[in-house]
Formats: sequence, C-alpha cells, structure tokens
Amino acid sequence: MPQFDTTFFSSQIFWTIISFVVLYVVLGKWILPRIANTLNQRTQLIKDEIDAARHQREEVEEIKLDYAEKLAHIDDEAKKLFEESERRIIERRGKLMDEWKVEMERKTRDFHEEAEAARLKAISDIRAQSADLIVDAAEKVIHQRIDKREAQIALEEAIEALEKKPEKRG
Amino acid sequence: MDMSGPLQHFRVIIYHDLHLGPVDLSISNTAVYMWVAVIVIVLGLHLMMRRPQLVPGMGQLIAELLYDFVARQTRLNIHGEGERYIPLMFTLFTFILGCNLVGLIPGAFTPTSQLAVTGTLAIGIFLYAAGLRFYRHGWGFFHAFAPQGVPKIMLPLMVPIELLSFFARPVTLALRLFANMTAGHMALGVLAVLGLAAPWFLQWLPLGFTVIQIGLEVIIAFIQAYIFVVLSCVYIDDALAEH
Repeated sequence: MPQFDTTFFSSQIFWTIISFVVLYVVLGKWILPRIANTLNQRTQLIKDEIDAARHQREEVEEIKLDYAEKLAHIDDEAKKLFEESERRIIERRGKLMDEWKVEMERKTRDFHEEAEAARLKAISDIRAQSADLIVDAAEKVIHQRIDKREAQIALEEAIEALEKKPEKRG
Repeated sequence: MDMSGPLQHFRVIIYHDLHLGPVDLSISNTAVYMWVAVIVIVLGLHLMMRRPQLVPGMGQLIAELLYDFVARQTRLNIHGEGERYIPLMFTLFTFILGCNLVGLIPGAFTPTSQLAVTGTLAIGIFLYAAGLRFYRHGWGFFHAFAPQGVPKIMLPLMVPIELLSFFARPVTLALRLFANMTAGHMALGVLAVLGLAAPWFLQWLPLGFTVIQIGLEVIIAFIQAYIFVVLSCVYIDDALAEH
C-alpha cells in the first residue's frame, strides 16, 4: 500500500503539524470566541428571561395568596367597614344636631331681643300718647266750664279719639 | 481506470520539491488537500459567523451546533476541566472531518487516508496527554501502570498489560482513522470500477451502490472524527485524573 511508503513521511508529518497549528491558531483567535460569545449571550438572555418569568410567577402566586387571604377575611372586612360607616354617620348626625341647636338658640335669642325691643317701643308710644291726651284734656278744662255730664262726654270722646288714633297710625 | 485503481487513489504525488537539509518537506497532494480542508473550514465558519445574531440563521445554526456538539463531548469526557480543552478538540474535530470529507470530492485526495497524517495526530495527542500527566503528577505518572488494590503477586502481569495498553493508544487511534478512510475509499473505487466494467444493463447496480456508499462515507467521516475526539478527551481526562 502506498501509505506505508516512508519516503514521504517527513513532509506529510511536517505539513500536518503546520496545517493543524495554523487551524488551531485561526480558530482559537477569530472564530471560536465569536461562536462562544454568541452562545453565552443567548444563554444569558434565556437565563434572564427565565428569571424574569419566575419572578413574575412568584409575584402572581403572592397576589393569589393575598387575594385568597382577603377572600377568607372578607366578612370581617365588611363588618368592619359597616361599623366604620355607622360610626361616621352617627358622628355626622351629632355634629349636625349640635350645629342646629346652636342655630336655634341664636334664633330664640334674637326673637326675645326683638320682642323686648317691641315691648319697650310700645310702652314708649303709650306714654307719649298719654301725655298728648293729658294735654288735650287740660286745654279743654282751662278754656271752658264744663259740668260733670260734659266732662264725662269729653273723656269718652278723648278715649274714643285715643282708640281711633292707633288705627290711623297703624 | 483499471482494477488497480482503488490503490492508486492513495498514491502520494509531489507537486513541489522542498528540502531543508536532509529533511524532505516537499509539497504533496497530502499537504495541498490538507490546506484545502483548512481553508474550507476557516472560510466556512467565518462566513457562517460573519454577522452573529441572537436568533441564528441557517449557517450560524450549523456552526453553533458543531461547536456545541464538540464542547458538550469535551465537557462530558474531561471531567471538571473540559472548558479549557474545547478549542483543541474543536480544531481536532474540524481538521479530521475536513480532511475526511475533502476526499469525497471526485478527483480529490483524502489526507486522513495517509498513515503519516493520522499517526502524527495520534502521537501528538498521546504525547500531549503523557506530558500533561507528567506535569500534573510528576513521578506519580508511573502509578497508573500499577493500579491500586492489585495484589503484589499480580504486578508482574499487570504492569506489562498496562504499559501495552498505554502505548497501544496512539497506534489504535491512528490505525482506526487510517483504516476506515482507506477502506471506505477503496470500496468506493471498487464499486466505481465494477460499474464501469459491467454490461450496460447491469451498470445501474454498482453505480447505485456507489451513491449509497458515498452517503455512508459522509456518516463515517463524522463518526471517525467524533471517535478520535472522544478518545483524545478520554486520554487527557485519564492524564488529569488521580490514580
């Protein structure tokens, strides 16, 4: 067989070593780092995405647990909310009642003050009219001599006039 | 082509005489087709990985699959330290595969059908593994030839067997690849000669087999490169391991 002919062994060995070393250097320097880098990047990307998915899943699980827990305590929660609302309504009602009472007290006080003022004014008016009456009566007594019967008639007229006067004013 | 054709295929042809003193460094068909293989590997991988992307195209996918395959075998067979030897194993795999496949081009030459080529690779790996073992274990290198737990009376038998199996490694490694490539190409040659020599109505039979045989040769080219790399990994792992 020609392969056992040792004549060409030295050149074949030499060029095998050279070719192999050249290939090793070229692949190791330019090709393999590129392939390894791409594979690593992809692996890292996949790892990151798996981590993110796991994280999201954990979050969902957490929310689910939280929801289940809330669902389990929803009666307590509702009762608590109802009591809270009731308390707020009572508070509000009390506050409104207090405000109303204060308002009513103020109005009552105003009314009393106004009534007192009217009463005082009425007294003052009566006094003024009584004075007029006395003056009129005195004039009549001074300028003419009247008997008892005439005086009675004059008084009645004066009282009548007095009764008519407020009507005219009013 | 006559019936001696199949062996003619393995004949070394000198293209350019080159001598360095007494040493013959002539450029033969072996060297030229090795260069062809190297150029095809480098150019092919360069083109496949020209614009690497996270979502790979067909070329990039093939390059990555090839790398991943070799890297996985290396990590699997060199325990704990496989990562460091991936470039060496990838080079070995692609070099042998390239040399195996280049011979399937009609009229081309198969460098791995030459004992000198497979022997160089095998002895290179053997010496590298032996040097690594000596570097790691010093004189403990020789402990591997006398396995622990073996009764002393058995040592005169065990040590020669271990030595024989140790030195047989490069021989088997070289012969396996050389024999497979030679046999495959010889079978192809014989079938082709039979096809040409047969009467016209029977020619389809050997020529049809040639097509099947070429498909088989492609598979064998991959398998032989794989076996060579896996065994190289095993030898390096053996050199690194404590005995």
